[in-house]
Amino acid sequence: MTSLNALFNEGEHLPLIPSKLLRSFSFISTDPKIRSGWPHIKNTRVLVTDIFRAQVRGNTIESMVKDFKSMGIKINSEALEEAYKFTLEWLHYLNEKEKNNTS
Amino acid sequence: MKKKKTILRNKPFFSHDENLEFLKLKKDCNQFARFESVVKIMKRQGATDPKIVKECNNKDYHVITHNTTDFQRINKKIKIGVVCIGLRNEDDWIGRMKKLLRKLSKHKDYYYKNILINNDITIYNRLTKEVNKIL
Repeated sequence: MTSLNALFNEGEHLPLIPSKLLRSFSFISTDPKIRSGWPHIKNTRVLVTDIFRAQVRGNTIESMVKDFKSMGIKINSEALEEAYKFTLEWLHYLNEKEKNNTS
Repeated sequence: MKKKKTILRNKPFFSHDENLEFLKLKKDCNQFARFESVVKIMKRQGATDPKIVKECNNKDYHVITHNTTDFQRINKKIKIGVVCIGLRNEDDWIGRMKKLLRKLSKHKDYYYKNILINNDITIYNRLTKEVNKIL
């Protein structure tokens, strides 16, 4: 399974999250009782990978803040930006790990 | 003593998880079912999976989520249905959700059921252990 597949098919298998990565993003956390332990924005159930996917599809930070608000969810733009950056760095880490394993 | 107000549920009432894609579902399927954000039901955001199941069961809302693992392990006392969506592309799964809503159009049709939406729709009855598929 490629790192891209591992990250964007949130299933039973949770790819390794380096603790250093989690520590460097204050808005991101994990909890086994929330969305099977997948990284999410603190005090919400919003997965970082969902934010990444939404941004890749062309949703802007401002439109996402508005859409979440319409669902009664308070998320600030900093948290959404962190979610995007966290996913990128996580993907980068998994890619590197995969490369090292194959070589 | 004050009588507790009960809301009649003809069409299914669902509580959807904290995902942007459910806004599109709400827009597209509003005529078939009522969708309420889990935040509005729990009156707080970031609730854990077990608490959501318990509260939605108390308030009689079926659950729709992308979490295909934890929500399928449900206690026998829980009456509500759980719809787990395994597909990530909303253009794929919203069409299948419409199909499901046409097949199971009443609120009571979802009781004691675990429904998994993937390339096909699998309906598992937790009481009878019967499995049905909608292709």
